Amino acid sequence: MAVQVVLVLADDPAVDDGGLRRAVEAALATTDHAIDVIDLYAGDFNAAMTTAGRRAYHSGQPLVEPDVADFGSRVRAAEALIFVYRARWTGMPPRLKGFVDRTFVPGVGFVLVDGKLQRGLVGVRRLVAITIHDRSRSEVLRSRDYGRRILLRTFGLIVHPRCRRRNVALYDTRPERAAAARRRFAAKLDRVLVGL
Amino acid sequence: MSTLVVLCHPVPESFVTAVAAQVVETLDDAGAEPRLLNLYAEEFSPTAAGAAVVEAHGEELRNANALVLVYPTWWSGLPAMLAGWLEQVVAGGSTPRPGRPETTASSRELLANLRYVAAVTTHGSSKYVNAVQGEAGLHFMRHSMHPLCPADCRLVWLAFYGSDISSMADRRAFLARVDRRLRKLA
Repeated sequence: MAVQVVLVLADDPAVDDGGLRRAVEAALATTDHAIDVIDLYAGDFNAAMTTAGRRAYHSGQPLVEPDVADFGSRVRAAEALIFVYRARWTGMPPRLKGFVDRTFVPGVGFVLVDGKLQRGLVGVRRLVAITIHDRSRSEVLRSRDYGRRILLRTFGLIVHPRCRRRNVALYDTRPERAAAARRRFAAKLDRVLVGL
Repeated sequence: MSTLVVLCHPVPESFVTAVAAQVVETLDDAGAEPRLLNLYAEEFSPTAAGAAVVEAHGEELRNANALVLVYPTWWSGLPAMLAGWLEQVVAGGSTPRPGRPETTASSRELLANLRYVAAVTTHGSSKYVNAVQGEAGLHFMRHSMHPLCPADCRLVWLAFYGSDISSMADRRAFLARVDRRLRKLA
């Protein structure tokens, strides 16, 4: 089934020759989903929440800057949200966290009614986090995989209540461990993206 | 004894900025020689800070006996600005790899003099909602930041929950709590 996908690329294309994003794009090319790509490494995306943006946060018109206003309208049209990043420590890189902070503001990600959180992205029925960790899986799990927690658990409160959430991760990038793990990673990537 | 206080909030009249002022006042009063680093006032770049800036901030951290991070918790984690500061100044661009402890050696050296690391943070939603969301910021501090510090370094978590619906009295109570706790540590 074709799905409206918003693909957020937050992996540095200079690292690994952009291998991660190429793998994702190759897997998506075999599907018939409509794909809207937000590349946080194209142009000079400002990751830090701005003073004007924060002042307007609870004002009812929080998307005061053109870059995030554009992201906001694109994200609202999504049925599937896919995040691609290489983990920093165990979490997401600042660029991706900045995208989340600045784009998923009241009115886009959620609505506050009397201080209570209400879902803002009920159209989103698929959440996928695609990650490469330099650490081993046990190290990542020991630190509670806090990057994934934000994308899959915290976001669970703002998307459709029965949204399907998938984590596709490659752990431990030591060369001697990588070959088999990379094959499994690519296979799972195909499975998850085709079956959106 | 000197303390580095890192403030991360874009709005100067925010509660978080007031919390940082309280932290500085308390530490000053206790003789802990606070040095305030305001990331927004310094126009720090979370993705591409200059080498000179990173070096200068690293030097401040090396000379500090305690580190206090004052920030708002957004989407259950650290704001991008603070995450970028930690990544560039503390991690120095190197990513820890399994079986290679030397990749964190420069971070450990930078944090070697710390007696405690404190996170003083506000959460818009309630403690219950944050528990459901997964408390990513707390786990970052506990499992990524704290293990880089010396073995006898303490981790202090001072969190204010429900700031979206808080009253003036709640906020004053939090400032008093911050004051009491840091005074004991100093």
